[in-house]
Amino acid sequence: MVAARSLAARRPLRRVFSLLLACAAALQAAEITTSLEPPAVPAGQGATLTIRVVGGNVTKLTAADPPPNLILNGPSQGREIRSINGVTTASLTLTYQLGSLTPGDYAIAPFTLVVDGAEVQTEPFQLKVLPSASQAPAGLASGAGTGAPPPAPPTAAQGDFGFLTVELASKSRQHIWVGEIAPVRIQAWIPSEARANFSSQLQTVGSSFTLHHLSDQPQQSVQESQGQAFRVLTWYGGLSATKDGTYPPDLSLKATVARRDPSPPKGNSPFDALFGRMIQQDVVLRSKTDPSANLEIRPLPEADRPPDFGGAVGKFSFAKALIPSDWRTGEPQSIAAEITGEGNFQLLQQPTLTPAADWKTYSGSTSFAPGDLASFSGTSSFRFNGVPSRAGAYDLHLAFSFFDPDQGRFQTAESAPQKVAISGPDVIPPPPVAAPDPTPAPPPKAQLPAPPRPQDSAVASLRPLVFRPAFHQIVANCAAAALLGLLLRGTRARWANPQRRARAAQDRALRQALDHAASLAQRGDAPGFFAAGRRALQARLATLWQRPGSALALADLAEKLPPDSPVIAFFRQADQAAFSPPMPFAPSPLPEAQALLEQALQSLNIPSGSAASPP
Amino acid sequence: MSLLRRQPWLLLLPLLAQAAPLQASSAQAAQAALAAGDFARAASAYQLLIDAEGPSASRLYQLGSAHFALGQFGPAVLAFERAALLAPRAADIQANLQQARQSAAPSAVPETGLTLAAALRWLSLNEWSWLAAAGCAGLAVLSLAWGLRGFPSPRAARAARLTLALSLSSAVLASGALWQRRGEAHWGIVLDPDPVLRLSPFAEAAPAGPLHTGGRIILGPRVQGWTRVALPESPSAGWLPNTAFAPLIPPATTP
Repeated sequence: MVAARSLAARRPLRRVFSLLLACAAALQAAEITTSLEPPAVPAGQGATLTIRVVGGNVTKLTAADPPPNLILNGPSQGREIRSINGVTTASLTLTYQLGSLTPGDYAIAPFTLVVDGAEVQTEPFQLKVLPSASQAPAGLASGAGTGAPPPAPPTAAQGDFGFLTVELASKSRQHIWVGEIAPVRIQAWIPSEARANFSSQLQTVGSSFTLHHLSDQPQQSVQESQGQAFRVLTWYGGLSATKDGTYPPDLSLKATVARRDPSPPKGNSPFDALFGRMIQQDVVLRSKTDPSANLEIRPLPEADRPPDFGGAVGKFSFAKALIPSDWRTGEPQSIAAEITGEGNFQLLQQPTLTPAADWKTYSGSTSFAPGDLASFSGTSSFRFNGVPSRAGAYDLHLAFSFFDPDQGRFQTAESAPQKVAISGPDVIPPPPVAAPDPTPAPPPKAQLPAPPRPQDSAVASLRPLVFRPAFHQIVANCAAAALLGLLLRGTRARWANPQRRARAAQDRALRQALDHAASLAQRGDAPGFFAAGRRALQARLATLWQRPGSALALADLAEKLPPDSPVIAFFRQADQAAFSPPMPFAPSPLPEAQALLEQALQSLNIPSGSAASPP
Repeated sequence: MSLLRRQPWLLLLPLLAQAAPLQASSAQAAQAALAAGDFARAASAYQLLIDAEGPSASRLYQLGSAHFALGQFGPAVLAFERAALLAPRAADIQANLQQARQSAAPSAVPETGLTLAAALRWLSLNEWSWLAAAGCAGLAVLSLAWGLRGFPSPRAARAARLTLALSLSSAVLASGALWQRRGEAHWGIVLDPDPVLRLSPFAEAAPAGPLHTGGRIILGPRVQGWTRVALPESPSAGWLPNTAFAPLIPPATTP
């Protein structure tokens, strides 16, 4: 809650000046924050009002006069100086304690502060004081004033250390309804001279009953039962049952009880005589479980049960119903309702719009404001959307149903009717979907579409060929055969190549001519040697020049070879030997001719030594 | 006697003559039990017949029908799946298989439409295998003929080109189909009526994902009575006891 407001002074000029000063101060540095926590407290407990001024110098603080029955204590002051990033700020915190012993709503007037010379007022505060936690909730009679006779202890042994009693707070009936949270008074009776420490919360034994909204602080008193004084602690809460029947509300409470030993002293100790011997024991205080403590749980009647009844048991009525008066078809608007009363608010359903025809409503939000600390009473607020589907003028109201436990019958609460005008075209709702049959027939047994086969078929392996080693063997054999075929085809093609065959024939002719020349040279037949040598060269030149070797003459060689080529020289000598035979007894020209043939073959890339030469 | 010495296999003829009536009688008994509505006996008889003499599409089909009538949808799906493995184009097997799958898992989406997988299943794995082998053999014969003599005449060359086209397309198509369907070697069918896929290979392990009887699973490694399985078209994987499923293609038996 933040509030900082400049106020005027009494005179106009002073008012304007103060306002400007306060604004300037607020703009510059001064920041005032206030808070009241908690905003609602039980009677007898306090709330804290905090006023914090940051960055200003408070020279005066004037607290408003508290309203009657409100206690205002304070202030206590606290100062704090902070330095953040080189900026130093000082703050002053003023704290008040507020509270009251009387439940009610208290309005606290604004506080006035003078900060840096300017008057500043806080906002007014609201404090809600609820009934005391130790008092009976609304609608419950206090145990001290009922005039009921004090109960007897459950058993003598248990009574030595204390016991519990449970009784319905309402004396008008001795039964409760299923689903009802019945207000009960639970008392723990502890011998007055004993000291007890409770080590657990009150809890039910068994699953017949459930405790709700148990008050936090027990109310304490001293009562006498059967000539013995007891210290009585009283809680208030709600007891609900989930099934009908007759049961004792069995409760338990763990405690450590120390009390004087009632047996006579055994020794002669003076301290025992003075103070008595104390005995301490961990006990579980139980309530009575004999038939006299039974509670009758009645089931809710089935007859006349309204269709919108959701289980709410109690007394409820409309506190407020807000239905907009102008509507347009198909457009949602918010509807609000407040339901107040006492009972089981958790099961209170959202009220329905009546008449419901031509309307569609949606689930909305719900909030509950307790009227007492035990939440027996209070107000439930509902807010939900409605959409009209047909134009026209209607008298609408809200309604809800509940079960009145005192009257023992269902009630329907209605809000005051309200006139509503709806405009716009009618919205045709979609056709209702047929509700599914709650007990569907069992599905028919499925039948196979094809009948059994009359004939058997051939037996086969479920393991296909591809997953068997034979498949890989077949594929490998086929691949090998295909490879072999390709190899054969390559070989055949190589052997059938005509160029290769011609080259082989020329090589063969060259080889034969050279062999012949060598044999002729060995015999000394020079003309024959030259003729064979020329054939060999012709065969070689035919391979090189791709021409018939026998047609190559000296004139052809002179065109393509240099004049000093040994091939031309050998051809000239071969012509000379053919047309002018050597003289008798002339030295043989064969050695030089053999060397010349060797040179000629080398010039035609025939390796040395391949020419015919005598051994 | 001299004939028996030369042809010793003739000694097996009396055994074969006795086995044929036995086979006929057991098949007839199974068929009669199925026709009489004694589905439990029919299922047992067909299972015995298959175990003893080997499976056929018809026997597996009858076995699946008997299991289906008994409400054993997992074994029914397995039998129909195996029958479809042998006779993929049999309309009655496909129809009953679809019905068995639907009954086993009503929420499962049935396979519809002309998909690549459906086209590849037009032939069985065995038929695809033989087609691939025939394509390879055709290519091998063609290659050998080309290598040895070639195709000198135009008629021989035309025949060789036709053979080459057929063999090559068969080999390529069948190899592709087999490659696409190579995972079927690891398929399994859930038999347990209430299968639970476990995160770890023990019975107390937490459930790992949804599973239904008759569903296809992909089998993985085995560990002490449990097999790691994956669900096709689903990221779920877990462990199943070996008794909760059966492989679609039985493992090879070693003699």
